Amino acid sequence: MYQPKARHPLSSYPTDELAKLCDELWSLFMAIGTFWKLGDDPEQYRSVFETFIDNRIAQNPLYPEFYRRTLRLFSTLQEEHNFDDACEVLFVQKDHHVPAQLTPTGTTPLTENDFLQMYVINELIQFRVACGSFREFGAINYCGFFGGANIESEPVPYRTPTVCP
Amino acid sequence: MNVETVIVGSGVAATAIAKTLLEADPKATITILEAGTRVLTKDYGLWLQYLMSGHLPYQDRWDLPYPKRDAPGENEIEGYNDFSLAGSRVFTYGGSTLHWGGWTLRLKPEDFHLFGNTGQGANWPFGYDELEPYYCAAEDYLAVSGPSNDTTVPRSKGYPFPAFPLTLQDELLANAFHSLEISYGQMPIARRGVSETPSRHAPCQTTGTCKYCPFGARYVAGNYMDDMRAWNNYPGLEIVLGGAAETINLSSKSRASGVTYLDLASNTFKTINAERVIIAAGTVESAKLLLRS
Repeated sequence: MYQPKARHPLSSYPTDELAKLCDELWSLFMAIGTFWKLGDDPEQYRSVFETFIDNRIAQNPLYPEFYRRTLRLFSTLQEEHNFDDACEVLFVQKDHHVPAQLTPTGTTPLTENDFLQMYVINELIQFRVACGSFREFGAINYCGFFGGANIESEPVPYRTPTVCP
Repeated sequence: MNVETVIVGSGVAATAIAKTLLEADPKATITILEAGTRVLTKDYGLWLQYLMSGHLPYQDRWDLPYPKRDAPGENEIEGYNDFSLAGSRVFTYGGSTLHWGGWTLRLKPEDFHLFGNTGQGANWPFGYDELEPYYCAAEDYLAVSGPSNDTTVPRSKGYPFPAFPLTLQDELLANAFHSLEISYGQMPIARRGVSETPSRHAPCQTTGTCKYCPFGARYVAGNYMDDMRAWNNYPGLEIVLGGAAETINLSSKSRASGVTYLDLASNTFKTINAERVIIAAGTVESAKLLLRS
């Protein structure tokens, strides 16, 4: 009766390969903060990042391949241009930063790069934000951010009016 | 199968009444009959999927627009307005509490005298005062956070948890109400806060993802039913999933003797004999079941 962890029936990814993949993806994840000049230390997110990757693969067994192809794309872009230009392509093309269900073509991206943008890059950016990357700018109540419990007599974990009406 | 009580449905009404019966008699034999199946709750992977894609893990349990859901001709709308249920109910273990917003407003005393006040509808057979203690019990059970100083309805007891502070977004409206001299209040919501009362259920951490709470802070009947199964010694509590109640069986014109249901896995009809039948399948399905019986 007690519920198990949600897992796709075909998802069974070897632990050592998961660790290797996380190591490789970590550089891409860190690049988001480097490129956007986020001041927080990404190392604090390492464990939740690995949990994130583990869960995405558990949900969909194709994710390891999505991740490998994205790493190849990131590597190719850096070889053809440089780190900043590669990040420019991956992290700031707003046209691609649209949830899949809102795309004019429905739910399926038309090219491989669009696909990777949507299902890997956008997710990593979203997760980086949800980790609390914009806290130093005062933004602490965005979707998915774990601000902490709502404890009486202590500051609430989200923004409130300076003086509550 | 013979049990003391069979409850049709596994939502908030079913879970609350099962809890009450089992607390009165832990050895009571109760079978919960649920047509839907389980959607995992408090699962980090499913929560991530919702956060990343906007896809909720119970979307495929929502009503489809009629007549797609049912056979042509069944469930036709006879009124002037099309009353779509698409997206309003969830057919699953725990019922619609899986996706509800947790709003827990009480009716006002005047609502109990609708016919007397307006000449339309009907009066309730009892008044607000008689129901008030049960509202308090329900708010305790649902772990409601709300403004105990709210004066729109008489209260004999405050909410179990204080109201959540306004957000910056709320401030805009609050200021507008102030300037227009319109009173306003905060929505009581079944989102657990923090108190000294110990609980197995986690408090809200304001992730902004109430539609799929990663902690189970917003009341979901299935979580409470799971708790009764996992942490209490209730040997007589059984849950049948994928069992669509077909008819309530009667031993006389005024006495129910059990329920016949369609076991969706085997596509066979089965019967549970019971001394007591409680129908808690929601407004529409309960009425349909009564009409079929």
